Amino acid sequence: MPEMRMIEAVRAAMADEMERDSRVVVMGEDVGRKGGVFGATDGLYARFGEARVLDTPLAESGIVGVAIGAALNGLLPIAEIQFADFIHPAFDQIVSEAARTRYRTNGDWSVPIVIRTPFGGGVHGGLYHSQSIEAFYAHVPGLKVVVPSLPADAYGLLKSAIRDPDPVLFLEHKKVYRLVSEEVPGGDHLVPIGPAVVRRPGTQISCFAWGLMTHYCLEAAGELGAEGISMEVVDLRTLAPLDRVTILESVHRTGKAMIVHEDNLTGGFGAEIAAIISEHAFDSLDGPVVRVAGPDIPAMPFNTPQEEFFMPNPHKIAEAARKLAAY
Amino acid sequence: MVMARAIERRVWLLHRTGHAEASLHAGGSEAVQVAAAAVLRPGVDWVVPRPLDLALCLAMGLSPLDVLLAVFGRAADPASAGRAEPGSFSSRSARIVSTSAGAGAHAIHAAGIAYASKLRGLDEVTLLSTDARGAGSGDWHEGVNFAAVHRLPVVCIVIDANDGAIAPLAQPEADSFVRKSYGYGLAGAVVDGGDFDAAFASLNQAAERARSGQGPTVVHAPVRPLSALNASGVLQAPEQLEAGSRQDPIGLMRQKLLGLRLLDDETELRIQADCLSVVSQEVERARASASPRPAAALENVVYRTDA
Repeated sequence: MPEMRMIEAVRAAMADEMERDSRVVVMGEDVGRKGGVFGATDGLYARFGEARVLDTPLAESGIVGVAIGAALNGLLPIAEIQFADFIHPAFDQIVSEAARTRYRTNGDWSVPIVIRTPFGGGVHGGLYHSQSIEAFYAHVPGLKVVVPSLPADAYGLLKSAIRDPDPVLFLEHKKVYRLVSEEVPGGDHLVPIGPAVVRRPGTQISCFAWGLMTHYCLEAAGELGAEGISMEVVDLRTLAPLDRVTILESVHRTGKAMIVHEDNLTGGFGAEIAAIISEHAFDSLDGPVVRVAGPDIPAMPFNTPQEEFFMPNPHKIAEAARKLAAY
Repeated sequence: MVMARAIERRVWLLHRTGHAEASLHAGGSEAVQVAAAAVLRPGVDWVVPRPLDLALCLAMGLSPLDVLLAVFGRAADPASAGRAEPGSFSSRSARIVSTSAGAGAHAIHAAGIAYASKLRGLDEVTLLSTDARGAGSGDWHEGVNFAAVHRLPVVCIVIDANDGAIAPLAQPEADSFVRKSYGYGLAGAVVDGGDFDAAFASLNQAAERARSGQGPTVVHAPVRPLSALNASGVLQAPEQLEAGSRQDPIGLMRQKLLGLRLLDDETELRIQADCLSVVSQEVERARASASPRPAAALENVVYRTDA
């Protein structure tokens, strides 16, 4: 049970799966000799060789497209997109090709690939190194979207993603890479794609989050607890498929719901969760469904005051929760 | 070639008379398509086709019934159970890879398939087929570049109907694809796509290069469109149509075989009649085949162990 940060857990999951199954390959910009800009693939090139840890051109559509082709011919590729902000040239390959191949062929072909990419802000990444992209992709049937918030989950979910017979978009919050460490079970520790987990039980408000926001919600919940407000924090972990049962059971218990995400508000994934709660837990609600999210501006500014203005944080979350608790 | 033409013409008639909801376009490029199939090993080598590659896919193992079931969107359509538009050829057993309507998106898949062949030490060639529009796409260049860098066993044909389907500013010059292939460090050749023997010789050389580890070749194969309307619905100029019909690859092949005494009029008529008979029979079988249940649209989105 070694203690790891998320970056190490991600690296260990890939290494263990590459060791276990020779079909697993890694490809992306700077993933080979450099070991990735965040070090996620550090050491894999030396251990598994350049044919299985492949430096690619700066061409995101090409990275995902090559992964698709390699998967059609029997490999299990892990494609790294260096920053989520740069995944958009691969949108067509992900949406029209990877996510649709099983459907297009009525199950004759499948595309078992993982697309890993660091996302999120709060690290002075500015307009082009801070983006949250989950809403674009969680909208796409045929594609699974996974967002771990803790090292052990990152390890177990990534291993599950690599073994999954369908394409998985695996989002790693770059601020969480080295934020916390915990013991990570080795070997065949798998975390199934789909189920959410209650990180902190509560009785008055249900708070739903993923990635870095899970940590901020837990911090806010601790602060609120000292004031006598009991907030449950649910880490969704997987956005597609979404664990509706855990969401609805939580709301049935507490009667109040809040969703926190870093992506901008309008059309964000929080809207989908709010709609599910409205449709299926309306009779349990004792207040409006609240969303805490980034403002509707094109991207996260670089300068500190505006970055802080953009980012939800424990203070903003606690403020929203106090109002909801008092409703 | 004759069977592909017979299917295309019958489907065109059915479409124009309201008995089919889409048509297929391949006329004029049958020779290069069949030549490509002739240099490949069905079930071993891979084909990543265009939606126009009816003759190629028939020669690689699809049956006329397979194609016609897709035309009518039937549940038994082996490519997609009626989901994909006709021309989205696919067969896992024949290694014909399902492609989308994107003209160049599949080029990168061909590179990935070939990368896996090389990594796994498998003696496989991947044939990538695009038209001139597809070869102008960013994805084609990303795929060809990747294949070139890794010297992958890929044969890239660009079947160029030069039919006005490309915006004038993007119109390629006669040898531009070959010159581009040189830029990527590849071999390149221009060949008359209507001439089976010339196409076979060029593609065979490309396949040999691929098998012997010398990397990809780009083969630019201009062909003459035979339809009054091209794939984009643009009306062809009369002189272009007339020139095309004079150089119909099936007519050229017929003349060649008659000259070599490998064909006589009686045999040719029998081949034509046999193909028409098969098409008539398979059209009726396909039309009589069941449509998918509406709710079957919900199936095979992701893998389900309980399915």
